Amino acid sequence: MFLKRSLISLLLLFSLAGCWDIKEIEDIGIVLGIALDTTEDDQLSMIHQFVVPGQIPTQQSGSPEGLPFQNIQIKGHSLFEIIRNNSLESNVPPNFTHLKTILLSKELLEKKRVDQFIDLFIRDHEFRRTVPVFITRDTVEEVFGEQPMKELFPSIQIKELSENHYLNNLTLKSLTIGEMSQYISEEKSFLIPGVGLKEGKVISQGAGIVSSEDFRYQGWLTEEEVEGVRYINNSVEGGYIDLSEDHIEQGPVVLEINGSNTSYHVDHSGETVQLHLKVSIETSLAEDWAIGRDVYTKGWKEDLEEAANKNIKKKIENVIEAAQTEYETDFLNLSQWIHINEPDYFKKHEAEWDELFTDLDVKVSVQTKITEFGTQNFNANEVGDS
Amino acid sequence: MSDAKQLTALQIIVLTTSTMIGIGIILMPRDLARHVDTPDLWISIIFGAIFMCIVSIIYAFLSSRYPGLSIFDISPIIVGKWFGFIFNFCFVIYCLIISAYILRVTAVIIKNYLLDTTPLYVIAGTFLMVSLYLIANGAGDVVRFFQLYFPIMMFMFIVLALLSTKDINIQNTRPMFETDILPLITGVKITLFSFVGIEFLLVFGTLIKKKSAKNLMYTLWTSLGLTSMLYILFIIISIGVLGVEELKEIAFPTIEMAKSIEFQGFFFERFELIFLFGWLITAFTSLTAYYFSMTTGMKKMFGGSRFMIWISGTIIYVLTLYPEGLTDVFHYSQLIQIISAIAVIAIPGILLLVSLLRRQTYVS
Repeated sequence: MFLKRSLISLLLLFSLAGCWDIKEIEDIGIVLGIALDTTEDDQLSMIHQFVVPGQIPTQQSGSPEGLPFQNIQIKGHSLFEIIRNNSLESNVPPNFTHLKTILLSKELLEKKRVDQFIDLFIRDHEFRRTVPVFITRDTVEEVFGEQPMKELFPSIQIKELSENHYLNNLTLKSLTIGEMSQYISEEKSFLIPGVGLKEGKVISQGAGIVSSEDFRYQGWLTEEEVEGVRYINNSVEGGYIDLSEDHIEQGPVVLEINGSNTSYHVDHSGETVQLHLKVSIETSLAEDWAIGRDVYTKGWKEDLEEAANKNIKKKIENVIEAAQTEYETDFLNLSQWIHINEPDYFKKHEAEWDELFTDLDVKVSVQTKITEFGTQNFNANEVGDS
Repeated sequence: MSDAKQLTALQIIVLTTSTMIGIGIILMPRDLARHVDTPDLWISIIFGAIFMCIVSIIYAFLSSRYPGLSIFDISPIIVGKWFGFIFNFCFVIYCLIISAYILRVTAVIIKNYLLDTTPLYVIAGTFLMVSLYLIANGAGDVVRFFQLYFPIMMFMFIVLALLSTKDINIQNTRPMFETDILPLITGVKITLFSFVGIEFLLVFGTLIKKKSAKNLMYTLWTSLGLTSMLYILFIIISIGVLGVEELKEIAFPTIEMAKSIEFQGFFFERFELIFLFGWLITAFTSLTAYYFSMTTGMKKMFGGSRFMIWISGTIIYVLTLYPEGLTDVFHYSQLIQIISAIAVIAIPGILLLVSLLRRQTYVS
């Protein structure tokens, strides 16, 4: 009896081997990036960036000849159709669980509604909500075809660039497809971080505006404007304030940002609402070209702080101005603060918010503080005069 | 063989909590968001819990008046053979429908997120077979299994909560306390459904012999408090991560939340697989509890054959596969709410009332 039982158990073990639906990893087309574009005849075009495992340099074999990735471009009228039509020219089925980047072209966003064509990425369980989305004004083929210096794959490079947001404020924090879906279901305008080509290299630059009116491309923000957006959204974690000769007499002076906080105050009287943004920035002196500044005597930093305040305030006001007059849409998500602070007012005017936003009274005040000056006071003596 | 004679207070807490937490934690956020439509949803859960606390007083009194008897024994004693049969039948139908609902939703989730190409009937079948194997040996094993997995399941939920804090956007949960009280109170009809499972005190009544009503009440309140705390925590995190508008559209919000947790370049980049493993146990415990009580009820009504477990299993299986798609399944939830209200509130309420009017206890 015991023998019989153990024999059966042993035989049953074979059913647990798990080779039933085996798929070798070489036979899976791991897609690292997707780039979407339109064609002249209004069709969609989609580039899959596949990993080519054999071309990944290893320590033993040194660096192989070809590129470690392969871009396959297919056209069609729906994304699912395109994905499945991959099998017409490639023998490996695409697998999207390691998707790192979705790149959209500006032309696509001008022609098609975002809320319509991203449906697949939200609906299909193979796509994760954390995949970042980018927009480019250059052709997506070129952006995806450029092999970066250190990274092997353009799609990973693009994603990693967006993770540098704590080093400077000229680019946006990444926007994931989940966040995008959230903006869309809340019917809000939003910004998509931009990437572009500069001298054959992929760089992050600016941002594209998508308006809540029809979820199409509305305009482009420059780096300077993006910096203002960062302060408005309270997403500044680092970076610097560059004070050139225009801002301060003895320039340039650079302040490194140690921390920044934006608080939002809403004053509601009668039918008008005023939003007050209070930005307080903590900085330290990072680079100083001025001659004769003595950090050991009191009073050396007041004019620097003043200049920094003006500089940042100007940037913030510029982008608010652009949002209110040029694009006439609330991509800064200021409505959120009205909603939180004056829920009754907002509920009443939610439908007409886009019109109200253009006349919204926004006050900006910036408070910069310099707390540290580094390890040495340099150039304290005015050498030229003696 | 089963050897449990008397449940301790801790065992009752584990038993009822494991039964309550199940598919509710996955499905409730969306239903509630659709109903209340502001970030204040979690207040509805508090109302639901308070309401359930009041209802649980009925259970405590019933159980202490008839020690050592389950609800299937009690109802013929109180309202007579025929009415008792009808009451038991209602309760069995309720258990059947809830088990089928749990099984179907769980199977769909497994199919969606884990076993893409496996047919639904295989997933549901194996899940049910495991449950059958567990309850075949009687109540003692069920209780011990629940006790064994309770810490794992709690650990999994707490890990998910902690890992999600990184993705929370606190502005999504604001403005707070700005909702009219009415939708919050009517939201109870949704949250209440997430608290069903507490009535298992009555099913496991055979193992509760010398508890006073007061002690039982406190025990039930503890498990209700524990469950509602977990629900509130999760609903606040869901709102924080996804936002109310998004919550209304996602089929399984809690899993999507687990899916958005990512360890960059780390061994388990996909946390949801690990979370699903923990969650499946909670779904399994809920299913087992309902399957067990359905079998118990059937045995009481039609005689104690050992084939009853197979019969009730087959009925659950057939009903599980009956709806055509997930939309159909969700469509039935209205019906399920009504049946739950009858089984969870009306039947025990009537039983207690009649018992009080007749001044009858088991001892007398």
